Amino acid sequence: MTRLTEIRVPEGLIAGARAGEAGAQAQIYELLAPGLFGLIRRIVGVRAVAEDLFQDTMMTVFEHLDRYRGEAPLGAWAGRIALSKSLMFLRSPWHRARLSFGSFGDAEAMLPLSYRSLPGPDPEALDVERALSSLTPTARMVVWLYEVEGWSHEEIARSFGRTVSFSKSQLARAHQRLRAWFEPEASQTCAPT
Amino acid sequence: MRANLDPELLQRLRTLPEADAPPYGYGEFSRLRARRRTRHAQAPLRLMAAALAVMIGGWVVKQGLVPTSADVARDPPPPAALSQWQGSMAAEGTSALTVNAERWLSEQPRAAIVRVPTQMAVTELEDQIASIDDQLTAERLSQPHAQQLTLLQRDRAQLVESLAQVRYAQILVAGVQ
Repeated sequence: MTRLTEIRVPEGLIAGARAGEAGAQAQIYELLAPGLFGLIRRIVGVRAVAEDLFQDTMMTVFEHLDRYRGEAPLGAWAGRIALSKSLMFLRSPWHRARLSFGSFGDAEAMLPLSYRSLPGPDPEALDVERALSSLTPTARMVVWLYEVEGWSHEEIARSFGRTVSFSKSQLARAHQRLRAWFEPEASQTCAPT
Repeated sequence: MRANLDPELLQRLRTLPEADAPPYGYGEFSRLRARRRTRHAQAPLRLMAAALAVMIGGWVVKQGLVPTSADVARDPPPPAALSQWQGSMAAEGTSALTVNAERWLSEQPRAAIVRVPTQMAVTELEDQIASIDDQLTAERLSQPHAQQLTLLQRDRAQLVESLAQVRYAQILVAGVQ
């Protein structure tokens, strides 16, 4: 899996896309789409929602490309847009209303389609996906951004509009939960009495 | 130290495959973007049409041509065909969310007096869903293409969700009033 920050987009492509060249935009789309969709999919869980947010994100990326200053890799900049859209969704009253329709909270439903459709998915990866699905969306997002995308606590805190301690405590709780998932006996032994 | 997770678990987390492939390529994305731009471009026209409709509606109400009470009339129960349709959608693997959203929609009362712009949005969404239903039926009767069916189902699921959002907002507003 490629981290968004590791995706290298040549300057020429960015300039072409800013000028509205369809070819350049298509190449940027092909480079960013898998990572961005993967990030959104893991944060919001439900594929249909992820598709909507992904479409919004890609549109914003191309519409606001002239605001990109090149201070961070394009993938990281686009990742922030994806994160912001995902957060807006998770905070919306509509998201809370959707919970009553019953498709959230079903860990199996939140697993990537590829795991459910392929005849022989990697059982270890499947187990990690299940463990991730058991976390709350916020905790899942913090774990993913910190451990996989390599964001710092300061960056995560800024994105959430919260303090650094929020990020640290979310991560600590998520670690605890993941450890308990993989080593239930050990976590019971270590639990404070 | 960056993390206190077991290094092996950390490695497994970092080497997970992509969650899912993106839903479509650049071609389809361009088409969707163009469609959305057209909708945005038409927004002022729609707003004007809605304002005009509100004015006409106000005039009609003022003339006493329709009842002015805000009584809420319940729709007749969904016809058997709808239940059968929902059953067939579920059998084809339509998401539980869409099926539940449709069931919820069919249970909601319809206001006898409604806000015209909202009702226009509801009607437009219902028309679009009906149009996709027609396309789905036609697609199934001809030689079904799995990809085309999937795209239509996806569009339909998004429309149903949009409709549920509008109806949900309507109910919230009614609750506030």
